[in-house]
Amino acid sequence: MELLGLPPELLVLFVSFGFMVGVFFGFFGMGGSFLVTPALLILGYPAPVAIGSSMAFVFGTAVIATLKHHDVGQVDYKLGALMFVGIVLGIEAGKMLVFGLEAIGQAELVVGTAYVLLLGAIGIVFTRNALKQDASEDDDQQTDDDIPEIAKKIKSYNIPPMVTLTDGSKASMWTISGVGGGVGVVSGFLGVGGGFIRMPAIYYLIGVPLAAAVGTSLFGALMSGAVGAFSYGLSGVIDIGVVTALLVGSALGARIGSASTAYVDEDDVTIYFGIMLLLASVAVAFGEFANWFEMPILDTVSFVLLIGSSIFVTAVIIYYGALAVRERKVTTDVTPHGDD
Amino acid sequence: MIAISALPIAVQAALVVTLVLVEAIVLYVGYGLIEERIAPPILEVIESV
Repeated sequence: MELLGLPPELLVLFVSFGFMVGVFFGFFGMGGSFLVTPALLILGYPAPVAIGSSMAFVFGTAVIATLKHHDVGQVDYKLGALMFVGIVLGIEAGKMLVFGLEAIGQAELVVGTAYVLLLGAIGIVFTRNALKQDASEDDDQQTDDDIPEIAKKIKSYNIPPMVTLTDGSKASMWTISGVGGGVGVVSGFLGVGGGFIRMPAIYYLIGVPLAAAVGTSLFGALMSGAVGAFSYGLSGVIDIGVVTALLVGSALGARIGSASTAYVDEDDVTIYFGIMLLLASVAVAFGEFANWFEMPILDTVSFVLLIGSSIFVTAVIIYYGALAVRERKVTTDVTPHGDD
Repeated sequence: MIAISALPIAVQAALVVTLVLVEAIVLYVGYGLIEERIAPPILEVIESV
């Protein structure tokens, strides 16, 4: 019996994996899409199907996240809309690259290798930041309304046409289009929302305050996802059953992940997330080796590593969350009777 | 009933995007309503364990 065109075991797998990805997205504000494409590649989906389905998933996840940020007024829709042309062109370029590589039979290899490097690099950054978080506590004194020095310097160059952003500041259309296009290429090539690049780019290059940069980046992911899903949809490579199963899990996971941020100190679990990304990088590498050396056992190892590390980090977040809820209850109970 | 595969490819692609959009909104609203109802008792259970 099949549901959404998937056998029961795959359906359960995708809903569960979507749930874990949703928890990461809700808790860390990232980590959603760049685990989905590798998982689909490891499961044997062709690169265009893996990327196209991931883009559609990014779109759905970004819609949900943007709705939440919209409620607290942290989205600069004008800036998001100005990035649109760059995003469209970038995604088309990324997609052409994927299909060009597919035509010569190298898409899985190149996309897989790119993921090994990407996940490895982000994993190293997260793990390193987690390890030296004590030393960098002084840096946290910056408020959400501040913008970094480099952004101020870039803004000081008035390269026309200049546009006025929602917060009243000005930015060059060239910078905005460059950010949109650059992230669009990465999105279209890897099937990711690109938030891990777009958010820092909006903050450091365009100079939007941090809180609004997060919301605007999500709106950018929404547009990237919509354009990417439409573009890959034109090639008929989106597996809507996979996308739906992932979304059902991730929408629930994102609620639990974002609720956990109220209880859990992110610093406590960041190192686990970093290690998980490093393991995911190793998992994708094993998947590549499995193809090169025709050793199916490596595919199994790769799959177990990716899913196992995701389960572990999800469990850590939920465990810390439950622990914090209990501790808060104990504190609440003890405080009024503290003198007894 | 119109077979989706008989529609132009651009319309099919647009339908995919629309379907995902509707799914996302339904899930956002649906889980929101469920959360309002079951989150408080779940928190109580966790606190009492």
